[in-house]
Amino acid sequence: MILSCTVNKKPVRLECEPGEALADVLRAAGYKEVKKACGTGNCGLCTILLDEVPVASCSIFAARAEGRAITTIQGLKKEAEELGAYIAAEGAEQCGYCSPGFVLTALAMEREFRAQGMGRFDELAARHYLAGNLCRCSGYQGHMRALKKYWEARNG
Amino acid sequence: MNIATYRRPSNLDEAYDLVVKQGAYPLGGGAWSMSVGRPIASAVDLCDLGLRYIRVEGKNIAVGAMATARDLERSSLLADVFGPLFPEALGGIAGVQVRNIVTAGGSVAGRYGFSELLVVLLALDASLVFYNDGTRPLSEYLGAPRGGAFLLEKILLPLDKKASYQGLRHAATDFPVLSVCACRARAGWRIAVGARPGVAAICPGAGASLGSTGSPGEQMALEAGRIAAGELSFGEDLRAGAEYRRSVCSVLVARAIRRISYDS
Repeated sequence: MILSCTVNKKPVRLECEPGEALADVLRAAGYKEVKKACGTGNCGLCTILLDEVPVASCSIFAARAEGRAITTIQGLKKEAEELGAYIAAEGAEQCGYCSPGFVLTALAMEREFRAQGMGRFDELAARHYLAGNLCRCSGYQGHMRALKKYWEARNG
Repeated sequence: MNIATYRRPSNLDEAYDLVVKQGAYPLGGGAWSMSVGRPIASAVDLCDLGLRYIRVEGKNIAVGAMATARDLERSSLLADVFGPLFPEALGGIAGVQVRNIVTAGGSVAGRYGFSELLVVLLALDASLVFYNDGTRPLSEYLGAPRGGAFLLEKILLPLDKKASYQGLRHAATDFPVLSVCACRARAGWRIAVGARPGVAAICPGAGASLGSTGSPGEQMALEAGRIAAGELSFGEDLRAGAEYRRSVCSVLVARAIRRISYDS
C-alpha cells in the first residue's frame, strides 16, 4: 500500500506493507535518523512526533500515519542542535545512539510544559516524562543537568 | 508483522460488519499486537470511527474506545472527578511514547493481566458499551470466557465515586508486580487487584469488611488488606512469586484504603 503523509513538513508517498512498523518504513525510505532497538516500545530510541505528539514508531502501524504529519529529529534541527550542545557540554551524549529519540521527546516535553505554564524547571516531572527513553551509557545525570540549563536559558 | 488485508472503516456500521459479522481482527492502539507479531489475515483499523473522546454523558463519564492512555492521564475532566487517580495509575505505563499509542478499548479487549487501567475500571465498576450489542458491567465481561466477536464503543464511568491506585513495579516503565485500586461509593467499597499476574479481579470480602464506613481506621484498612490477600489467587512469573504478590497485596490494599480515608 502507499502511505501519503508529510515527513518534516514535506509531502511524501511511502510504500509499506499493512503490518509494517512506522520505524521500519521510515528507515527504509532513508530517514536513518529514526533509530530502532528494542522493537517493543520500551527504549524510546525510535521516537518520532506524529501530529506533534511523541510516539514509539516501532510500536505503531505505518498505515496509521496516513494523512498525518511526521517529524523526525531532522525536522527540528535548530532546536535539536541547541539542546544537543547542552547535552554534549555535560558529557551526556556518550555513544549518541539514543540521542535522536531523547532529544525529540525532550523537545515535545518542553512544549507541553510550556503549554501548562511551567515556570521553573521541574526535574521530577522531566524524569517522569522521559522515563521511556533509555540510555545505557550515561546514567542520566548529565542529561538532567543539560535539560535544566537548556530550560533556564530558553524559559528562565 | 504480517497483515494480509487492512481496512480502515469510517463508520461504526461498517466496522461492526467487518469485525462482528466477518470476523476481522480489530486494531485498537496496535502496540501489543505489533509486539506479539502474530499474523493477521484481516485487520480492521478503528482509528477513523470518532471513538477518541472523554466526555460527560448523563450520570457517567464516557471514554471512547480509542482514547489513549495519555488522553486519560491528562484529562482535566477525569482529574476534576477522580483527582490524581488516572495519572497515578497510568503514568507508569511504559514511556509517554507508548501511552500516546495504547488505547482504553485495546486494554479492555485484550484483558491484559498487567493492565493498570483494567484495575481502575474494575474498581470504579465501569460498564462497557458494545456497538449494536448493549451494555455490560466490566466485571461480567472479565468473568466470562473469551470468545465471540464484538465491537467495543465506549466505557462508562460513574461520576459518584472516589478511588485510589497503588502499584508496585521493579523499575520505571516495567509491568507492575501488583496493582491495586480501592474505590468508595455510596453503596460500599470495591477493591480490585491486578497483575496477579492474572487479569484484574474484585475482592468481595475485603470490600464487604469495610461496610459503608466512609473513612475506615487503620485496623479496618489492615484487615481488609489481609482479607484481600487471602481471597485471591496469585501466580508467579519472572517478576515475582505468588507468595510475594500475596504479601504485597495486603500492604497495597491497606495503603489504597488509607489514601482515600486521609483525602476525605
